[in-house]
Amino acid sequence: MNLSPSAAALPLNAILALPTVCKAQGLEASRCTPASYVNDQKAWPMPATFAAFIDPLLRMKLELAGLTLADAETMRLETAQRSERTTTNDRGPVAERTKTVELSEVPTLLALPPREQRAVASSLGLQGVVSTALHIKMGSSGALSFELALELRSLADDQVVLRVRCAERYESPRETATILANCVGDGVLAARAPDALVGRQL
Amino acid sequence: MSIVWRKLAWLGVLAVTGCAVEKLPPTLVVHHAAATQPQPKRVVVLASECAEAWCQGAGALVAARLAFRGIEVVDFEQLAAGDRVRTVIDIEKSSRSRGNVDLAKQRTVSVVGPRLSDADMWTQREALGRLGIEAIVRVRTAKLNTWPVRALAMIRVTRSADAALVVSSACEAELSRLDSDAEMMDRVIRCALEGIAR
Repeated sequence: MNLSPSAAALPLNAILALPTVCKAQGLEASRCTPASYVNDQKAWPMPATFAAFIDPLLRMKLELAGLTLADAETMRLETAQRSERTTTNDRGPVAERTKTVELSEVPTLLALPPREQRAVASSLGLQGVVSTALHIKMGSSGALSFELALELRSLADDQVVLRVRCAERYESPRETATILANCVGDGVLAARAPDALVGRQL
Repeated sequence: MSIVWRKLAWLGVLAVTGCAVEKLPPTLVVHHAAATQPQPKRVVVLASECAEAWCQGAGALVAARLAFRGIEVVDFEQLAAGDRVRTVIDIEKSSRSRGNVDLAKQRTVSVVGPRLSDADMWTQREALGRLGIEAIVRVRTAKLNTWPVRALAMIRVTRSADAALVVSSACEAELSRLDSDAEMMDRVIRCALEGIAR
């Protein structure tokens, strides 16, 4: 685990959290899809992106470290339209009820370019932005190597406040991704709230 | 035949030893704000952003527990964010066969319009102040697929005005592979709730 700059007291409180992005270095882009690592997708269903493995755990650790997060992918720019339909069929003593709910797709904060994302975050009183990137590359030993890098920036001056990086040799999409998320999360905790490091170290 | 029995016996031994691996007791970490701060009386529980089925009820479980303790929980899923149009269509069909009358009724209720949970971020932010919501409750859950499996849950309460921490409680537990996902979530959520109660 690499930590920089120094684990000094970090002044940020409420920050914007961007979902983890994946970059395959020198490999085909499909390596960023967890499903590409399993043969039988019915037996081993996989989410569309590695963010589904990484973000829940990592964000929990960031909040444990004292940061209040606003999840960018949940921040709608427009109000979604909802349509609910309930149908009751009554035939003598038997009544059947079915309910369907449709919600229109609307753009979120992620649809904006980075500069506008920061402007909106500032207008909401957020003080920083945290981004994470998963790098997948071929290691020197010929085995796949996963590296997760987190960067926390201040919105006031766009300076990096904290940078944490962890690397692991690939074992399985789910296990390697969650181990990395745990490692990077623990790095943030070590910098901001060392007393909150919970559980046995992996 | 004896080979089959021997294999079964080995499988049995493996299963028993696997389940008997001693798990660490749950670890709970709680952070409280200064005791001088008044406890919030009206809160909103944010929907937990969870793609998997095992953690989708986490927010509802926490909301129910907070409500039981006398805290008013505002549910954005139940409040309209604007005009909602309700249309009811009743259809009755009767048919006669061999002297018997069959009556079939169908009622379709359509409601079109957004709820507060569907609203854009500025509308939701404005609603916090308008509804007198003092704090925001966030529930997060995660699963670590290591050996043994670990489940984590975190409940974090922050003031809606300035995002300052009121209380946060995180629980991590090691679990048996034999535990179902639902049991796992229930256990860590209850553990995290104990931290909020203190």
